[in-house]
Amino acid sequence: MTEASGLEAIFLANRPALSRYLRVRLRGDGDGEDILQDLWLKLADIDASVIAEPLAYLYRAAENLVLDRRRSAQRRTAREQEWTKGHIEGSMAAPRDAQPSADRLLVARDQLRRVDAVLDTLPERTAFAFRAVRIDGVPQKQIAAEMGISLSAVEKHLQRGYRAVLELKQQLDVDIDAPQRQWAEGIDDGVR
Amino acid sequence: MASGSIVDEAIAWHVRLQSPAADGTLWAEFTAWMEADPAHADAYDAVAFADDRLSEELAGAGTIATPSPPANNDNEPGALPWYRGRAFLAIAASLVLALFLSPMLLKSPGMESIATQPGETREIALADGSKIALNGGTTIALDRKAERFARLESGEAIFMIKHDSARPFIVETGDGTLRDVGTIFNVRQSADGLEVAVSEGSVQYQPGSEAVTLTAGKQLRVKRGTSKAIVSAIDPATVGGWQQGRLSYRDAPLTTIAMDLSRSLGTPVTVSPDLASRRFSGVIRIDRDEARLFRQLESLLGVRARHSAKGWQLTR
Repeated sequence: MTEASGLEAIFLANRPALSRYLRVRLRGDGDGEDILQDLWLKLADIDASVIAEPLAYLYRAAENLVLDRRRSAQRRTAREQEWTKGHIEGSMAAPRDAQPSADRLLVARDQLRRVDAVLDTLPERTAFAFRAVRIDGVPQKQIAAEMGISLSAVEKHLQRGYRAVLELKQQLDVDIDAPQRQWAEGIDDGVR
Repeated sequence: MASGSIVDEAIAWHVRLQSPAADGTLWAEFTAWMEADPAHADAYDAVAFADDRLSEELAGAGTIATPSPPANNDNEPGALPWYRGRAFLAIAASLVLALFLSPMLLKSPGMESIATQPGETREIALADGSKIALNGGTTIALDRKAERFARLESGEAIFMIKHDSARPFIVETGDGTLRDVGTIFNVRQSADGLEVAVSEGSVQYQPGSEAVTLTAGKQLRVKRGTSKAIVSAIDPATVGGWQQGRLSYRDAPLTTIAMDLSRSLGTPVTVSPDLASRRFSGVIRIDRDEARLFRQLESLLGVRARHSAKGWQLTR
């Protein structure tokens, strides 16, 4: 038996626990069976030999699929809004691709600048730890050693950083619609 | 909005779950925490989604994706074994048995019918270099006088059509006609209706004023009795996966899956009525060890599988 089938065996043995996780995680938006099936489908392509905690890996993969689904649902909503505004002509026209265009790039950069500005308002060591781990992807252990603090102290810094980012995103949700629509109209005006 | 302390707890979970020490036990504890109060799950969702957007922005700010190259419509799968011309006609002629003649064929004396038994697959080659691979339990009719034509009576087949823009290849089904000028696509015809999936090139459904053009990576479904064609996306690599023992589904009823399994295995597979509305998305890998296959399916589909003299039955 190969390593991959080992991961599949762990999936099958822990299916009830993963299903329980998805049911509560989705908050009433389906029972998660479709996500479990997508997850099962992906297992075939994974090299399990490099995975230290296979079960945690399966939970994480399931969580990523939840987020994928949320993201595409949001994109769909955005496209439908454009659609009803008459920006896409002809009923058989393909929906606009989700690939980042130059304009999307600008939006992403703008968002990151705002995150950066919020981090600047935090204590210096908190901002340093959050940037290092979350933006630059430095392992938590390495940052703990670099800062001369414990792993749980790094976690405390990260929590404060996440709190600030969360508040920023939620505040942006309130007024994000207006600039995005202007941005979409700008593209279409260019095409016509 | 959840209270401050719940949000802090959700953030703490988010950080802990990302630490290298996170194991299955931690995730189970996290599940229990979310189950304790719907506000917990809501708060965590907001945290995870905000962080996911940060990931997207980090990824989006650095790169601009390049568009994928257009589908190649001049594909010639030269590496595949091709039978040609007379050899094919000899095979086809030997397979014309009265048993397989449908009423439609009786009206067309030039037609020849080729059928596979459940569990049996067959590749047939046409004189022009095109190839058709038949899944089990499939019946197809070919016209001796019109070589760029086939009629799928029932079952499933992959068409690998040689490019010839002057002479499009026509596939007739009970639920509509397909027109093609050089591509690879899979067609499934059942009592439920028609399903067409395109792997390379493009295919037209109902050529004429109501034509629907399917490009690579697109799938079309027509439910029997309706004229509405529903187009969805499909991974081109999974098209015709039955040839590699892989059956791919998106939101398919278990009855369809049972039918496909019967076709592939040659053993009848039935579904108990209380499961008729159950649906499945994902991939089933056919294991020739039926006991092992059905043990896996029990887990995958959340059903029980029973074996009897009549074959396999899936029950709740």
